[in-house]
Amino acid sequence: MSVMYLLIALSLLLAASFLISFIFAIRDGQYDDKYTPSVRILFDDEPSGKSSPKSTSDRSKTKQ
Amino acid sequence: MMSVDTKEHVACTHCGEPCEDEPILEGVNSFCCTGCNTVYNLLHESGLAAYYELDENTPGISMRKSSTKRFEHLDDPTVSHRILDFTDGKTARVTFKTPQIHCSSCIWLLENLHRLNPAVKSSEVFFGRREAAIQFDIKELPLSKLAALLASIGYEPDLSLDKLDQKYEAPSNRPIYLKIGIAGFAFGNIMLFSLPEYLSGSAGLDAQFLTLFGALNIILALPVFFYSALDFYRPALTGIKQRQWNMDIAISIGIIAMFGRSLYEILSGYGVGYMDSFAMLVFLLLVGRLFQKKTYDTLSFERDFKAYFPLSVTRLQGTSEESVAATRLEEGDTVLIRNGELLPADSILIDQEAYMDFSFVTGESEPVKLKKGDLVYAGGRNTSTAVRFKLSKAVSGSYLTRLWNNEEFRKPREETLRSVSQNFSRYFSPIVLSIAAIAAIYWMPSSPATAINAFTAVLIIACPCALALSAPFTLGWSTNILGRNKLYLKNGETTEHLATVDAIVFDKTGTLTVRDKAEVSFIGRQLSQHELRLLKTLLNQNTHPIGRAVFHYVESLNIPTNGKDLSISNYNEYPGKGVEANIGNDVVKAGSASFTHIEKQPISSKSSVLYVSFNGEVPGYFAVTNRYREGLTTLLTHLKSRVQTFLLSGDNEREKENLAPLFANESNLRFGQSPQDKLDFVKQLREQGKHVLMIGDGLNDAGALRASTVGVSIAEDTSSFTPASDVIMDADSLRKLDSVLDFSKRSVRIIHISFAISILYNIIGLAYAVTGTLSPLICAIIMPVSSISVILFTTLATHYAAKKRGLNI
Repeated sequence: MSVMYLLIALSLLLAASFLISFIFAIRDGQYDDKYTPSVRILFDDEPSGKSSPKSTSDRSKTKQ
Repeated sequence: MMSVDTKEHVACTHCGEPCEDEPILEGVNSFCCTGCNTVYNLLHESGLAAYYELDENTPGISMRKSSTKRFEHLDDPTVSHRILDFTDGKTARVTFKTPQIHCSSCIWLLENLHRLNPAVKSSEVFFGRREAAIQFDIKELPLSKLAALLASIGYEPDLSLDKLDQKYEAPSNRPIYLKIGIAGFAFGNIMLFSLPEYLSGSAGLDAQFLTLFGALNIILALPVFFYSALDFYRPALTGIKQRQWNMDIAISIGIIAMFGRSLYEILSGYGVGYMDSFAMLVFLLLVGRLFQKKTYDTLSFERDFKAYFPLSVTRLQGTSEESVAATRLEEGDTVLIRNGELLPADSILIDQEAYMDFSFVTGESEPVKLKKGDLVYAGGRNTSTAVRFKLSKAVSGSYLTRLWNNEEFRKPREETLRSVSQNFSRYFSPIVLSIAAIAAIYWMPSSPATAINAFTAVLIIACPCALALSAPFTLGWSTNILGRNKLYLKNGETTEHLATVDAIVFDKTGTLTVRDKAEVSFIGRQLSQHELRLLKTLLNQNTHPIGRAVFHYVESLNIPTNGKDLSISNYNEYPGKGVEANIGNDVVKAGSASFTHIEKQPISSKSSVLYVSFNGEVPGYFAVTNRYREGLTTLLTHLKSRVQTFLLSGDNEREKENLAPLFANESNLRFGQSPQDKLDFVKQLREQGKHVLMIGDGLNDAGALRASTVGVSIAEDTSSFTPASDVIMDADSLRKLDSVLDFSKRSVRIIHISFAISILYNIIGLAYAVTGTLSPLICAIIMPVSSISVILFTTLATHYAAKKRGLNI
C-alpha cells in the first residue's frame, strides 16, 4: 500500500503544476483579451502574397 | 413626387460606402472622397493591400467622417506625460482608444503599423476594449505624428478632455480568475481525498490514510478559506457595520461554520469534516460572481462633459495659431473654432456672425445665429465657417461645467433600491440563526456534544449556496440577453431597477427623433436644375430648421453648379412667413402658403411645409417630416396604458401637436426645458415615490439621467459619446423598450421562484441537521444538486421569458 503515498504525491504535484501554469497565464494577461488572439493567429506574415514589391519591411522578407 | 436623376451608386473601394458625390475614379477603383483614395494608395504602397481581403465585410473607415484635426498639443510635455504609458526619452509606449476598430482587418492593419512607419516598434490591438497599444521611437516619431499617422489611415485616436484628468485603468478580471482557479483546484483535490471515506462503507478507511487525507484536506482548504473566500467576508463586514443583513453575511456564516467544524473534526479525529462541500461552495459562488460581473469594456457608463469636449483647441496669438490643451486655456484667450468643432468654454464672438448648433447641449434643434459680441455658452458646435471667440471663462467655470457641480453629481449615487436578495437575506439569516439556537438549546440538557453538532450542522446546511446563486445567474443571463438586444446594462442590479419602473421620461431631440435627419419630399411638378440651384442659393442663408432641411435635401441632389455662383441681392427674411431674394434675374420666394400667394392645400398634419415660388409661379411645396424612430407610435401607445409617460424637451413646442396624442395628457409634455428643469422634474417625480426611467442622449439630459432610478442614454453608435447613465441603448432598440421592461419584471419573478426552490432544499437538509446527524455525504450531495438545479432553472426560465417576449436570445 505504500505505493499509494507515491501516487498521491505525484497526483498532487501534477495538479499543482496545472494550477501554477494557470496562475502564470493569468499574470501574463492571457485572460485580459479573449478575442484578438483568436483572430491574430490566422494572419499570415504576408496574407495575400499580392503585396507590392516596394515593401521594405524586414518582416515580409523573412517570411516562411 | 419629383424624380431625381439618380446615378448608379458606386461603392467606395476603401470604405464600401456608396459614393454620393462625384466618385473619384482611379483605374478600376472608385472612391467616395480623396481621404479614402489616399488611404488606399498608402496601404498599397506599403504592401498592406491584404487589408481588403481579410474581412468579407467592409474593412475601411470612411474618411469623410473624420475631420482633420491637428495633434501638435500632444507633444506638450504636460499632455504627453498623461497620455503615454511610459517613456525613457527614446522609446515610448502609448495606449490609444480607437473606437473605429471593428473587424479583423483593423487588427491586422494596426498590428502592421511598423510597415507604414519604421519608427513604430510594435503594436498590439485589444479588440474588446477597442484599444491599440503602440511602442515607438519617440525621438523619430513624436506623439503628434503618431496620432496623425493613425488618423490618416482612419483610426483617429479618441482624445478627449477627460484623458487629462486621470489615467485610464482598464478594469481587470484577474483577481477573480485567480480566486476561482485556486478554489477549483482545491475543490477537485479535496473531493478525491474525501471519496475513499464515502465509498469505504462501514469498515472505514485505514487510520493512516484517514490522517493523511485529513491533513491534506486542511492544507488544500487553507488558501480557499483565507484567499478565495475574501470576496464574501468584506461585504459581510460592511453589512455588519451598517447593521444590515446581507447575503454575504449568510454566506460567511456558512463558510466559517463549515471550515471551523471540519477543522475541529479532523484535528480531533472525530470525523472527516466537510472540506469538499466547503471548497465546492466557494468555487460555485465565485463562478456565480464572475457570471454576473459581465461588463462591456467598450462602453463607458461614467462619462461627463469632459469626455465630450476636445482635448485641444486652436489658440490665436497675434497672427500665429497654436494648438493647446483645452484645460490650459485662460480667460481672455482668443480661440479659432473651425466648422464642426466644439466651443470648449463660455466665450464672446469676435467675428461678425456665426451659426452654432447647441442641440447636444440644450436639446434645441435649430442652429443659433450669433452676432458679434454675443455671449456663447460652451458646448456648441460651429456649423458655419471658422470663427474667432474670446474666452470669458476658463473651461472649468463654464455654464455646462457648472451642471456637474450640482449636488446630484457630488454625492455618490445611493443605492436607490434594496435588491431582491438583500430584501430576502434580512429575514433569512436571523431565521437560520434562531433555528440553530433552538436546536442547540433543545439538545443541551441531554447531550452538549449533540447540541454543538446540531448548531453547526444547521449553519452548514442552511448556507445559502443555491440561494446565493439564484440572483447572480438570473441577472447575469438577463444582462446577457439584453446585451444581445443592444441594451447594455451597467451591472446586473440594473435589471432589478428596470423591473420597478412606473414612470418613463423621454427626451425628444435625438431620442424620439433621429438627430440631424428629416424626411423631405417635393410635391408638385418637377423642378428644373436651374430652379434647384436658385433654391439652394436662397436657402443657404437661412437658419430655420425647415429651410435647413430643404437646403440639405437640395444639396444632396448634387446639381452641377455650372462653375459660377449665382449672385444674390435683396435678401429678406420675414419671421414666421418666409424668405425672399433676387437671384440673378429671378425672384425666388420660399415660405408659407400665404407668403407665396397660394391657397393652402390639405396636407397631412405631421409634416411642415415650405412653398416655393419662382417669379410668382408656384410649382409645388416641400413636405418636411421630423423623422421619428421606428415603431414609436406603437411603443408609446403600449407604454401609456401601463406606466406614466412624460416628455421633456429643450426644443420649442413646434412638434407638440404630433406628439400629444401619444401621451396620456398634454401636461405630460413639457417644452423649452433647461438641463436644470429636467433634473428638477425627475427629482420631483422621485419625491412622489415614483421609480423613474429617464431616456435621453445629450449633455442636457445628464442631470436628469443621474437623478432618475434608471438612466438610459440612447446612441446611434455606442462608441460615440454618451452621458453617464445606467444603461446604454442602441437607438434601434428603443422600440423594444416595452418588452424589455416586461422581461426585467419576469427576471425578478424568476429570482423569487428559484429562491423558493433553494429554500425547499434547505428544509430537507435542516430536517437532518436539527437531529445533529448531518453526514458529510448528505451535505456533499445536497449542495451540488441544489446549486445545479437552480442554475438550470434560471438559465432555462430567463431564455424562455426572453423568447416569449420577442427578444433575441
